[in-house]
Amino acid sequence: MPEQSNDYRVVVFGAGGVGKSSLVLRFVKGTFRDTYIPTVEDTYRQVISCDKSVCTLQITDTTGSHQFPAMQRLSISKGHAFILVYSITSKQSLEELKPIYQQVLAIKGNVEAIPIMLVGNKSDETQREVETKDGEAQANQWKCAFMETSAKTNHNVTELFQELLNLDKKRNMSLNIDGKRSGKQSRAERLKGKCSVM
Amino acid sequence: MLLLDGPALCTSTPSPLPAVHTGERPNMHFYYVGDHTWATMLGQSVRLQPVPIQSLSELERARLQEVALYHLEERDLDFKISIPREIHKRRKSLRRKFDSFSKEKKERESAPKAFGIPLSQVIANDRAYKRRQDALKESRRDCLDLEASILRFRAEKRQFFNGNKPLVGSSSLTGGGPMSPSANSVAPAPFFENQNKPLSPTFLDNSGRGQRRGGLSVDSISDLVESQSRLLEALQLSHPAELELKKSAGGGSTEGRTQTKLSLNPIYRQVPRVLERCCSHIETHGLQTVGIFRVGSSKKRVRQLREDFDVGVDVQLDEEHSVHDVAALLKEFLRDMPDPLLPRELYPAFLHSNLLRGADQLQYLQHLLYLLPPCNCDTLLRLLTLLHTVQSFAQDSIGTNDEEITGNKMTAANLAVIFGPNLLQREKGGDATPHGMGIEDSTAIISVTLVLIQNYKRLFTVSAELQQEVLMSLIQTDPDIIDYLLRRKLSGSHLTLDSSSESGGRRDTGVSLDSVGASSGSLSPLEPPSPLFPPDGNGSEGSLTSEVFLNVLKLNQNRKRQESRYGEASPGKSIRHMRQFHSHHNLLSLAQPSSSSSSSSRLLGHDPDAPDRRGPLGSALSFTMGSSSGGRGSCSSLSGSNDSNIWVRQTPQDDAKPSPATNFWDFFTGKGSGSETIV
Repeated sequence: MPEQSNDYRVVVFGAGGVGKSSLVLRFVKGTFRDTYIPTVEDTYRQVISCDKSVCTLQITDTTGSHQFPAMQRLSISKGHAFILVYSITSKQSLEELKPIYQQVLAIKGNVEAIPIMLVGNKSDETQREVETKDGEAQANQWKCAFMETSAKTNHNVTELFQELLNLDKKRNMSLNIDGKRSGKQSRAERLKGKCSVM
Repeated sequence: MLLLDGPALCTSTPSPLPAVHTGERPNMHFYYVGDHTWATMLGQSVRLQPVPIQSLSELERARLQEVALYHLEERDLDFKISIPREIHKRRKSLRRKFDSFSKEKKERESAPKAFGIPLSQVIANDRAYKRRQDALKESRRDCLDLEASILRFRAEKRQFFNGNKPLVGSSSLTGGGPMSPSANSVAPAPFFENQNKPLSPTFLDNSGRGQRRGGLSVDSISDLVESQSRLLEALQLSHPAELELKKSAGGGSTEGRTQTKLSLNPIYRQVPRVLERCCSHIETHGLQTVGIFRVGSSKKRVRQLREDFDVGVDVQLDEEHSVHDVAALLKEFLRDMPDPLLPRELYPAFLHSNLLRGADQLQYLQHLLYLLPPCNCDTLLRLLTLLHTVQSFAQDSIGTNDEEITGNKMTAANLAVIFGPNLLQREKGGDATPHGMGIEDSTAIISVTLVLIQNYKRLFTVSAELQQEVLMSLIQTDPDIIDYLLRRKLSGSHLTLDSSSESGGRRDTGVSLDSVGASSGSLSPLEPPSPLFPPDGNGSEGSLTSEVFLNVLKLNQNRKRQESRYGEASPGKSIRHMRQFHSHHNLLSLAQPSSSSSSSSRLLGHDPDAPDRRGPLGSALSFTMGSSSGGRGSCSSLSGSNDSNIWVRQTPQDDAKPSPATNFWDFFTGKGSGSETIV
């Protein structure tokens, strides 16, 4: 498949069973299913506006169950932005993000310019193992953005992707093709309270 | 249909029949009567039943590979299918393994022992480890034995010097007698130095001593042949016919292959220790864990576990270990094998199965699985058994006490997603870009794995038709073996009638009995050999401790191995071993005057009662040993000689056959040959 220059690739990483696919599916299709199916690798495409024209947002949903370093490296080197997902019900899943972050760091070199979002998913769950401040602390340490979401209740899902696009300073992207400035602004306003943008 | 009558078979077999055949009439031969049934003139008949592949003998399995290959080639596929070769370096590395016993420890521990090395190597390492443990145990016991015999010898010697002064106890030995203190204090010291020190290393690297049929196939024996030719010679003398049989078997079936000797016994179940441990841990602790195999693990703890296994630590997995760690370890083991469990060269062949449906697909996969080397086959079966168990707990269920048991949510499809890429990997290199390997292939990999998980039992059962083809192929090259195999199947079928419940991959009872000697104490759990010794048999010899029983048991096993498969028998180098071997024969001939033919024919188990009759034989033997330990104390175990101060040299037969035993005793007595009793 020929590389399309105007593709914007977002890669979703995270341990097995934290809800990567659920997040992506909620965003792309607006649905949520209580299934439990491991992913091999899925890619979804959506047309968004970018610098007053259109481009394709490509979301790669990776596998969390087994690591194939080669595939992971490839995803990282090709990705423009990264979503690192853990589950607030599992401390271990946050731990597992650390080597992935290190790898992004190693491959991309300078992560300052790269949009990375740390996401605590399953915020609807009551059996919390990772407090919000723990996630924030981790995000601070990594100098990346942080957000808590719930694919089940559709909490912060669209916001997550929009905010990720906003993080990219080189491009001016919006989920809406017509590029309504106002809508984007207001959404960004709305988000201010919920996420800490570094 | 091929009809073979007895005489026809008989003409072709003037010599190389196993010892069993002595005294048997030609109408005992089996001939094919159709419908997968073989019969003898005496009316015994064997109807071939589907059996698990593990119960087939090594020879049958080798032939099954060829039959399966033939069927696969008949399909006229557009890619090449071949029997996966084991890695060529194996033999060399095996030798290195053996050599390494004498080398320093450091070098041995530098190379990983479980991860990232070929499967056969892992199994060899496991076996080497096992053998080291055994050797340690044995050498400890040997030292005790030796010490005891030396002490006793000193006592006797003193008695000899002192006239008829009775032996008081071991404490008086060290005290030194009133006479010739110098003789006592000086002379024994070199004994200990000369005997104890050189002996222990010999025991340690004595590959024959603790050797059992472990992960390796028989051909590893060729590594031992040079060093242990003596006992082998002795064995050959005692069973030349069987040797011939073996040779013809090996020669006939190995066209285009190296001259390996193939056993007529089932291959010992070859599953790496690390995989077996992981599987049983998950079966014990992880079946109700949601997302088992999917949920991540602690990288640190997994690395620790991996390192432990790699340096050869005997890691015990218990409830302290997280099931997710163990699951990750298992996946890592599979993933890091240089050649995956389903070898790369069969990758296109396995993917091709997606184009087939239903019974055809299963048959095709079955043939492919039969091509696998035995260690891959056994390990795959173990893994699939686990996965099948895991997926059976996928759904929520109601327990016996009406409590709700949460399912692990790992259906066969989910497990296939996770294990597919670990089992099937395409050949490295070539045009495949890492990403291009992609989606089409991975869905194919997953669906193949799914079929494997769902149908593992059926896939690993060899149908009667295929067995028939194997036998038909064997009858063309090695007609003599057919009788042996069928006879065992006959005894096996009788046994299975009694014990109808036959667990999945296990061999049937008849077969496992046949290999008890090989498997006891080996890597994976099999039935303990205790039934050989019914408890009531012990009553008659109160003076015997369990140690003696162990010895007797070992003798029995040794004998069994030596007689039934001299090839991979473990000819012990150690002096004690030789003594046991010979003295055992003496005892046996005492116990059973007509033993040589009857006992060996019993071993082949054409008699359905064979397993039951083994018990009495064993106890009779041990009884003989026990009661004769006073008079004929050739077995110098601690307990057997406590109450006796008469000490007998080896019997004349032993002197006829030159053996280290003679030298051993001469070392003590300082005398030449000739049997004399020191009182």
